[in-house]
Amino acid sequence: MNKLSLLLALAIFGGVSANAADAARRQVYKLAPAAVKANAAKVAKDLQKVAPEWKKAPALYYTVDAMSDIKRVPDLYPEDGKLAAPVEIIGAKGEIEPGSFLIYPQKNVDKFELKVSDLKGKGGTIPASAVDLKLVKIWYQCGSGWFGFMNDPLQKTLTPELLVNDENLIWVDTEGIQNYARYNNADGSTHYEWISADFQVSNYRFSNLVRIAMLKDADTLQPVVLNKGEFKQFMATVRIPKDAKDGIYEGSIDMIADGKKIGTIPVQVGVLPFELPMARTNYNIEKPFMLSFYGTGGAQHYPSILKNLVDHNALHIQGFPDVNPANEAKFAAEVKLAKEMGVATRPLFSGPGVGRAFYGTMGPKEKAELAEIQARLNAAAAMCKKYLGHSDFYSYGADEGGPWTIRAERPTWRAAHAAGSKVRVSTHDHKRLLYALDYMVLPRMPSEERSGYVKKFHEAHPDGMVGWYADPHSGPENPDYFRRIHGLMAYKADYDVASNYTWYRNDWNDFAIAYEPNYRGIIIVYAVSDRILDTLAWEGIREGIDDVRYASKLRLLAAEAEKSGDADTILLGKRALGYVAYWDVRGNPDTFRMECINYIMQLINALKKEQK
Amino acid sequence: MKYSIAYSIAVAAAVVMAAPCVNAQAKKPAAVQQQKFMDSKIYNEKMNAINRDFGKKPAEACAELLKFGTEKNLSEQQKNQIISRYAYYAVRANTKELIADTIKRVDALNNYAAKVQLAMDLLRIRNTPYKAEADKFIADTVAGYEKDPQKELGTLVSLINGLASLRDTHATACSIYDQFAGQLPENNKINLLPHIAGKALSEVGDAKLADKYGDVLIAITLARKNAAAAEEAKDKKNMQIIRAYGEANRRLLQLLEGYLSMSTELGQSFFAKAKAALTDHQNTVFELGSVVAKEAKKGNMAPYQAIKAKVLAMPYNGTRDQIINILSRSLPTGEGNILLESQLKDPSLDGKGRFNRLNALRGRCGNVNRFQRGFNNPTAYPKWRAFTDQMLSAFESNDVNFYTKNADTAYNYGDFAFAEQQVAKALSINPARCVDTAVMIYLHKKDTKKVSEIIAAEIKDKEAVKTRHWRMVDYFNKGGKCKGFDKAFAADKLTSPEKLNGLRNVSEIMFRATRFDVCQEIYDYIQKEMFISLASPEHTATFVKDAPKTADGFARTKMYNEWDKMATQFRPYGDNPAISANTDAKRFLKDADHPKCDPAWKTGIRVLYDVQGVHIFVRCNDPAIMEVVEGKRTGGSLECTFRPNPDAPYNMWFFSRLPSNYDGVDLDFASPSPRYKLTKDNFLTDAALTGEGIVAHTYIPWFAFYNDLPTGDKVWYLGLQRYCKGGMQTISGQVHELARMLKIRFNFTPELEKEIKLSLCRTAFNKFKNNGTISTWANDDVLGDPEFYKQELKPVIDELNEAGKLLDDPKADVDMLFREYAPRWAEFNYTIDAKRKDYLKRSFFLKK
Repeated sequence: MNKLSLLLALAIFGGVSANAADAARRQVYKLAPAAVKANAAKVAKDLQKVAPEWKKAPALYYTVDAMSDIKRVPDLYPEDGKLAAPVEIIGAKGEIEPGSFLIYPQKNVDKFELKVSDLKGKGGTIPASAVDLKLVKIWYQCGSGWFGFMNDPLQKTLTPELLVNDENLIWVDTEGIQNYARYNNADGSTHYEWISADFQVSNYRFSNLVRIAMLKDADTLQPVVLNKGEFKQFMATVRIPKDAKDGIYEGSIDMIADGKKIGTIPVQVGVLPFELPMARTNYNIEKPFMLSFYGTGGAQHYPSILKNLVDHNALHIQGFPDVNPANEAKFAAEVKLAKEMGVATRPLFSGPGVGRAFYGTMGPKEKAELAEIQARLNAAAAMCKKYLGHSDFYSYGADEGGPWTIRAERPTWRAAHAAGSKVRVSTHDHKRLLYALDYMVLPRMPSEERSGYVKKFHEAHPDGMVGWYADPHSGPENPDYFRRIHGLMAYKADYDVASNYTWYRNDWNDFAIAYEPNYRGIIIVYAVSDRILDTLAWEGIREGIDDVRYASKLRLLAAEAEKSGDADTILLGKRALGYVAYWDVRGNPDTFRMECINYIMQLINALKKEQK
Repeated sequence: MKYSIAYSIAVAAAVVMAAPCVNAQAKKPAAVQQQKFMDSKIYNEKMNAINRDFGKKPAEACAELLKFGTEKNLSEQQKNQIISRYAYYAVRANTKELIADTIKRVDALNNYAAKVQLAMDLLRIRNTPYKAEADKFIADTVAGYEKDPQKELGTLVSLINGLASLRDTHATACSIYDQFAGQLPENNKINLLPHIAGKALSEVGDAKLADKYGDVLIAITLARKNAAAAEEAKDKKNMQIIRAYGEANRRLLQLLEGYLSMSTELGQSFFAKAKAALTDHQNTVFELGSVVAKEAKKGNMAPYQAIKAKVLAMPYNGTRDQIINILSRSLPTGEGNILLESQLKDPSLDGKGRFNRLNALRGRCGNVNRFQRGFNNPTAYPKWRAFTDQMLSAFESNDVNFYTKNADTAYNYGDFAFAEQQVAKALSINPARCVDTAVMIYLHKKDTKKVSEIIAAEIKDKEAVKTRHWRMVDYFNKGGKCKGFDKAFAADKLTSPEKLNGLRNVSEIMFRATRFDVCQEIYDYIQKEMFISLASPEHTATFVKDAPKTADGFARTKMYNEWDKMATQFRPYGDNPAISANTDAKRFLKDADHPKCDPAWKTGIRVLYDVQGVHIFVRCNDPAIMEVVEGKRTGGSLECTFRPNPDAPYNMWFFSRLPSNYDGVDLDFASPSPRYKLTKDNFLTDAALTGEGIVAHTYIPWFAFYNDLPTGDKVWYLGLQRYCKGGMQTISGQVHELARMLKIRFNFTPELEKEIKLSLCRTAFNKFKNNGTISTWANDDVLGDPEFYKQELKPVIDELNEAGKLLDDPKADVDMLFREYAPRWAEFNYTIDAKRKDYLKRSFFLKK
């Protein structure tokens, strides 16, 4: 045990006061000596290509792809990185787009700060407040971390995941190979608790699970420590104002070490001359392609969480607004809130449950119950029409019901149709048995091979929808992977909804999952006392839906081009459609995005010319 | 496995079934009979453990139950419970063999209660084929009652109750009731009537029948009400008469609530008849509370709005209290709070009343549990604390639970001083009722002396077995270590599972007390000293110059029968680490009876390799392979995972329906990139039937993992689970558990390594040369981009072509080519993608 760990161990275990524990703590990762040496040699080689003043700087930086599949651990040299290059971000008006860079310290720094400037261009200013800086916190996840969702508790692997403002919210002990979280006590003190203990430690009770009420992140990025040779990743996410003028905006991020400016990271933001439309399906440009996670229940109580969902293109929130006729006032208030926050109100994935399966012959009790269900659905439909002008809400059936459950649900599903509403449920592809189902949530990755099931369902249900969940459940942290499977992969396989399980529940301890200990944490975001923490995977999903929005924009323009009457414009549209249609999911989605932008710009210019 | 179950059923059966007989014959004097029966805690723990197993392995749980039934120190009641539970399991498992066995056993018993239970269980099976057997038990029970009505009265009542609950047997229940109604004591009647009447309506839909029995209940209740009223008027009251009304009234109310739960209309119509037999208070509560709440739950708020003002204007009394309690549970939170807060304005409210009403409001201020699965409500604890402070000022409760729960909640929120204050109060009231919380708080404070004092008081004058946990906690509290644990607790004669459970219970409270050092020590000790090794098994691959390329090819070699050269360390699936205490005790403790796979369904893995790649053969023996050949069933499935190093993404593939190689799962756990190749793009599979079973084959070309060759000490990793009629087997723990994958060692000679690398360089170069997009980029100015080609691709292509010439040079440095060029040739598609992205980005910023 090194001196630092000893100090910490003393602080945590030895009765030193909580404040002393804070003072003693410094986030240090154990690095592989061979990697450190090799990295130093590579960095030295890179330094030959940049301005000489960087050589003696206490810290350097590399820009990297924000959504890469590379698991950036502290001793991994960024083969894809560019030393001292500008952070370049291109986005549409109103889009949220990430950039990223790694800091490489050439010596230890106790207090390292980043300060972002306003971004200025011919079109005006994008304020510094539109750039959100976050540290990518690396912590231990179980052995299948970054890749899988099944529990693998015998090994722990360092995994970049959390986007935090306060580095010290989580302390990772790389000597003891454990995670600790800082708890903010009601009496004003703080202390650290062990948050990676598996269920054996608590004898299978829930005592070892994280108390989210005790966790607090800062509102803005706090100073971090830098340790020589230890790479540290930051995200710089720009929220491009809807009213920004198109063009290039330039600014910078100052690197400040122990109070002294040691370098500047140039930032270039290219604003495109259009806003992105809502995502549309691949098979029908008129139909929406939606992101609607399980596990968003309760989000409606926290405007900041609703906003976070909307910012990540998750506009169809399950259970919100709550189509519960027993509480019309609540529904009215939630519809109002949804509209204010930009949450979609059609269709609604909410409504009185239709999972009641009536096995065998229905007796008077069952008939009375069915009548009540019908009355509830009728009232829900009336309420929905009253406030929204439609009854396009989807009630949920019996989760993952087998064939006999589905048969036994027929009266209930009929009741939904009789009320003018619809039915959704997660189910295997039970073919004709699902005739009364309007929205099938099909398990497993939306691969090209699985698109056959999707096509058949659409054939049998011309107005029906297909979503996917599970295999993988949430859990893998790799943003590139989640970007593809929730975005372009689902889109190209003709799904209507990416509906994975689950967005949030308290799965903070990856080694001990309440009620489902065979899984690791199958969540996308982490809740603290008053908000949620974003993750790489969540940013990846937002980008995945944005990829679909770009493809949708391209296809809408191609449709316009088709009507233009000009042969060159028509053919340009066809070329663009061909690019999207034949793009192979093995390709790089960043390249796909840039090609789409390229085609969109060409189409806009061609159509403008036509109009003139 | 089957053998052992059958054996234990047979052995256990004889003993359990013999037990009642032996006891019946034993007529020793009471003093001599004083037998020490099994402690109920130990009995319950065992029954619970069996119950947990039942969900996964019904047959084994039944066998275990019967084996448990042979324990000598079971009481008669416990033995009967075991038989009943066995019958229940048999029916739930719905296995013909088990049901037949249980029918035989119960039939042989002179125990009508067991017969009633089994009859009902059998009747509850959908489309039951056991109606005749059930009818026999029913007839036996009725006959048994007729023979000895006094003794079997309770059994008859449960029989009628049970039969009334099922639609198909409701009529039988009515007929038995009618037959014996004249003999049944009135108290039994009032137990049965609401049930028969309620089910007549809910199950049979016969309102007339419901009325028949409901009216009898109303009549009895009304008569009792009048009798009680007369009694109330007397100076010297017969409390039995008053209590008798209370009992009938409770049952009538129960029936009324049942009607209301079906529909408001039914509830109201029955109420019209029953109200005379109820009290004024109950009538008001029903009309203003229950009915309105029922409507509010349905979304009809009109009745509530109509009575809200009336309720708020009611005098402060028990009726108002109860109405508000009922309504507040069904109304939206805001409305409920308005009602509850109105209760605080009662001018006559004393401290205790105020305390209780604040408590109702405190319960609605949000989740303050230690574990919250959903989002946190940041205002919950501050509100909870404010209400608690008000409650403490309002009234000095002597309820130890109140203070203990306060202490727990405050402690969980880091409100340490308040937690200690509350636990001190709890200790002063009743130390025995707050030990766990008190010990946790003082362990957190590291107040060793105080912890020891609390524990000493708790264990004083108690049996050793009941003080074990607290003695263990105190042992670690005083600095005891795992190393000395056995010596310190030698007198307890702990079994391994008891020791495991004991140590972990200590760990649990230590965790809550944030004494993580103790937890870690216990954890390490258990893993190192008490558990078997969970290290990955290993297998050495064999180089075969011209390895068989198919499953059938392998099956025709002598290697097919070389079990000693295969990895065969398969075990029954289910040894997941950190998943349950039961699994830990049964699968990981060194001295546990570790389950083994049925040898008839033996599985072996043999890995061969040649210059082109790796062949994984899985031999799956199947003792009834003709069933597969003739299509009665499939040969089961294989779930396979692979990764070339401990940090790499893993590939996964299935043989979903052996002997087909169909993969019905089709999953990848990483995105395609230079760091991961899709399984379907590289892995080839096939399978073949043999005389002994099935062979499955997977071919992985070296090229798929050219950048992760198993040279030197490096190993590759394979995970495999087999699911078949012979059970579920695993060689690598839980599915997708990467830590315990089978390690595959390769022993490359330098010559072979060079040969493989050279072959890989050629493959990579050919892949580069066959890239179909280059000419489009270079020559098609519409779909390609000649300028991009010229600037970005051509220099790289020229360099790679130049290097490719070296492949024909026998003196070329193969290691250099493999290291420097193979990746660039192999991943040229990704190079184009990356360069194109950067080019377009740069063009965008330059254009502007």
